[in-house]
Amino acid sequence: MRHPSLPAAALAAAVCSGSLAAQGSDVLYARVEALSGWELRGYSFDQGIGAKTVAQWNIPVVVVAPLGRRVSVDLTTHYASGHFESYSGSPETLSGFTDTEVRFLYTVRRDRLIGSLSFNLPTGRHTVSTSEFQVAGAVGANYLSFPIANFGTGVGVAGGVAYARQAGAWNLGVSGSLRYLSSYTPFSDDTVSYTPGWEGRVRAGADRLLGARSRLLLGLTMSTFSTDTYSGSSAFVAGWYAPGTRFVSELAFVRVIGRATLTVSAWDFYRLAGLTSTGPNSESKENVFDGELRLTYPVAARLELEPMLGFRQWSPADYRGGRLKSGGLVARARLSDRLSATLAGRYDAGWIYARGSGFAPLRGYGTSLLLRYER
Amino acid sequence: MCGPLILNTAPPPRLRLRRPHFTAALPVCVALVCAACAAGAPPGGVRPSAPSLADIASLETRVAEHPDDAQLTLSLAKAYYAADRFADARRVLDVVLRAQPANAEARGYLGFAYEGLTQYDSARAVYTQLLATRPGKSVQRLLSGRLTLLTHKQLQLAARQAIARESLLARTPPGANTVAVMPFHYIGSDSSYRPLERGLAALVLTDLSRVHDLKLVERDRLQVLLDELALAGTGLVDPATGARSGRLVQAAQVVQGQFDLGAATELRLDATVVRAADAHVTATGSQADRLQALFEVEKAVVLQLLTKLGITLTPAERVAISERPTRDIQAFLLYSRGLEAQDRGDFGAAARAFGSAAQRDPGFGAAARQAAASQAARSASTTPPSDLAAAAGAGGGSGAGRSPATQATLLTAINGAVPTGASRLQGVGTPGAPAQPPTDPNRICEGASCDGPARAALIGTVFIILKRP
Repeated sequence: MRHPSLPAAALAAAVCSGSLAAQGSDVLYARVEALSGWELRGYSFDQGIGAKTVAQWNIPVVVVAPLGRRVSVDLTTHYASGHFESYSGSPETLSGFTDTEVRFLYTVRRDRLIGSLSFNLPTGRHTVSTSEFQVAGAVGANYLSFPIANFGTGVGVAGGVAYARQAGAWNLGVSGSLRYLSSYTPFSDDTVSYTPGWEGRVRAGADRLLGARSRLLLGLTMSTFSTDTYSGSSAFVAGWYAPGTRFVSELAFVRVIGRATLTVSAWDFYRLAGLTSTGPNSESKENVFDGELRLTYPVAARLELEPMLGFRQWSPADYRGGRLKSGGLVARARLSDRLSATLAGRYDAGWIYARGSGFAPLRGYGTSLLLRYER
Repeated sequence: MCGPLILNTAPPPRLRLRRPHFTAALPVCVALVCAACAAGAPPGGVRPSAPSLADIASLETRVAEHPDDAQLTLSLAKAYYAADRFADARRVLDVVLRAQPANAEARGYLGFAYEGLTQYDSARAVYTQLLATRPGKSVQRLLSGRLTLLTHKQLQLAARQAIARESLLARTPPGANTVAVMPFHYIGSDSSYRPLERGLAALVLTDLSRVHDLKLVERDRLQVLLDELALAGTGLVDPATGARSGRLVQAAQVVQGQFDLGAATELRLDATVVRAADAHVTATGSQADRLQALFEVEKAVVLQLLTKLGITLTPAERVAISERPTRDIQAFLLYSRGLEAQDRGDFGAAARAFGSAAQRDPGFGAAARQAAASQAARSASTTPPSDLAAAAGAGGGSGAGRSPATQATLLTAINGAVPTGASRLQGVGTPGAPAQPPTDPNRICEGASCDGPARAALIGTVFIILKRP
C-alpha cells in the first residue's frame, strides 16, 4: 500500500518545526538541514548465475530540524525504483516511495546523554507481487550494498539511548535500541502474513585524535532479533525464522597531509546463520568486508575532489562468494553558504559466486548528485 | 591578559593552594598595597604622605651605621619608593635581597620600583617569581591582578612606541602568518548590541588561534593601539585602516568587518582579511542567520576565510574551531560588555559583567576566568588585602559550553543504534567521511534467503522455505 500523503505531512511538520528552534539549544541537530538529489547504482552480470542486471535509482529526502531546546526531529524517505533482469525471465521493475522514518532525539544531558524515539511509517512498497519480490531481494544484498535495501515494511517504533563521554584522549560512546515492527502482508498475490521479531541493537564506539593531524574512529555494533513468524495461507505454510545475530565493526583513520585529507576506512559485516522452522539456514551466514581509501583535495576555494579506491569481499556461509574492486571520484562543491553539492561516480569490477548457482563476473556503476541545504 | 585571549572551554590549570605563609605573605600584601597607594594607583586606598628629605637623610645615616640591618635598609627603600626615587629604591632593595633572598616584602617593593622605572618586563619577572613561591590565595589574587594592570601598562607603552616608530615599522616585514583581528564594526541602531564588536573579535581570534599555522596578535594589544590612535569606536573598517593597524602590531594580515542586526534579530556578519603590506583584500566571508545562531554564523565566516586563505584544517583544528564558549547568547552579550569595560580600564564593571555571564551559564569557562581576572585587577588597585580573601573565587567552570568531540561521538552512537537517513548528512559536504556499512537489513529477504542476485536468481528459495512441504 502506498500512503503518498504521509511523507509530505511529516516533511511539512519537520520543516515547520525549524521555526520553533529554541534559544540556547542543546539538541544534536541545532539547525534545519535537508538532503536530496538523485542516486543511481547498478550491476551487470555475465552469464553464470542467472541474473543479468540489477539497478536502482532513488531520490532521497532527508530533513532534520530542531524542535525546541532539547528535541530535534529528522525525517527520511525516498522515492526509489529498482530493476531486475535475468537471462531467462522477463525484466521486473519495482518503484514507489520507501517507508518514512521519523526520529525524535531528546537531549537528556548536553553532549552526554540522548534518548531517541523513532517511527517507521509504512509509506513504502511492502506488499509486492512475487515477481516484483525479485527486485526487492536483489537490492537487499549486503554484498552489493544498494542505497535502498528495503522498499517497505510495516508500522514500526524504536526507542534508543546513547551516552558519550571523554576518557583521557578518547571519546567513548555507547548506545542501544529496541525496535518493533508490526506484521504486514508481503505478497499481493498471496495472503501470507509476516510478523518480524523485535530487534535489539547495541553499539560501542570510540574516537580520538592521533597527534594534531589525525583522527581514529572505531565502532562495533551488535544486532540481535527475536523470531520472525509467517502465518499460513493457501500457498505458504506457517513457519518461523530466527535471524542470526549481526556484528558490524567499523574503523576509520583520517589524516590531513598538507592541504589534502586522507581517509582510510573499513567496515565488516558479519552475520551468524539463522534458524528456520525447517532447520538451520546456513546460507544466511555471511561476512562482508569493505575497505576504502579516499584522498580529498581542495582544487578551488569552493571545490574539492576526492578520488577513491575500494575493495569488498563477500563470504557467504563458508566460501568466497564475491569480490569487488572499485574506483571513483567525488566532487564536492559549496554552491553558497547554505548549499553544497556532491557529485560522485564510481566503477566496480569483480565477480560473484553462489553455491549451487554458479559464477559470474560482474561490473558495477554508480553515480549520484546530492544537494545539502543548511539553514 | 598576557597572550591571545582564548575563549577555550577547558578550565585553567588549577593552582595548588597551600596554607598561607604568614611570615612571607603578610609583608607582601602590606608591601603591595602600601606601594600601590604610594604610587597613586589606587583611588580608594589610604595614601601615606611622602617622607620628608630629613626623614630620608636620617634613614640613610642609620643604614650607613648599620649596613647589616636588613630591616633598616628595607625601611630606607620604602622611603625612597614613597618619594618616587625608584632607582634609589631598586638599588637599596638589591642590597636587602642579597642578604635576604627570601624577603617577600622586599621583592614586592622591587616589583613596584621597576614599575616606577617603566621597566615592566623586570616587574613582571618579580611578580611571577613571587607567584612561584605559592603564597596564600589572597596574595595570589593580588599578584595576578597586579600582573593584569601591568599588562595594560605594557600594552599602552608598546602602542605609543609603535606609533612613534610607524614609518620604521612600515618598512619592517611582519611576522609570517601573523594575524590581527580588529573589533567588528556594528552598523545597527540598537546600542545594546554594540559590545558584540569586541565579543565577535574575541570569538574570531579564538577560532583562528586554533590553527597551528597562524600566529595571533593579542586582542587587547590591538585594542590598546586602536585606543591610542583614537580609532576605536569610529567605525573605520576600511582596508587602509586595518592595514595600518596591522603594520603597527607587526601583523601580516588583519581580519576586520562589520555586523548588523536587522529585522527579527537577523544577524549578518561580513569579514575580510586585509594584507597589511598593501591593504589588499585577500579573503572575504559572509553569513547571516538569526541572532541565536551567532556562533554558527561566526564559525561559518571563519571557515570561509580559512578556506579562501588556502588553509587546510587538521581534524584537531576543525574540532577546536567548532567549540562554542557558551550556548547562551545573553551570557555572551554580557561577556562582550565585560570586554568593553576591561578595555576602558573599568575592572569593576568588567568583573560584574563577566560574573553575570558566568552566572547565566556556569559552563562558560572564559567568562568565569575573566571575572576572576578582572576582580583580581580591581582588588589589586582598590581593595585592602584583608578584603581580598572574600573576593570572587578562582575561574574555571563546571564544564565546557559544548564539546563537539563528544557531540560527534554521541551522534555516531545514536545513528548506529537507531539508524536513519540523517546519518547521510555527515557524508555530504564533509571531507573524510568514512563509508557506511549496511544498517537497515532487509529482514524478510534474509528470512526468505533471497539475499543477493545470486539468490535472487534462485527466487524459488522463498517458496522452498515457506511453501508447504
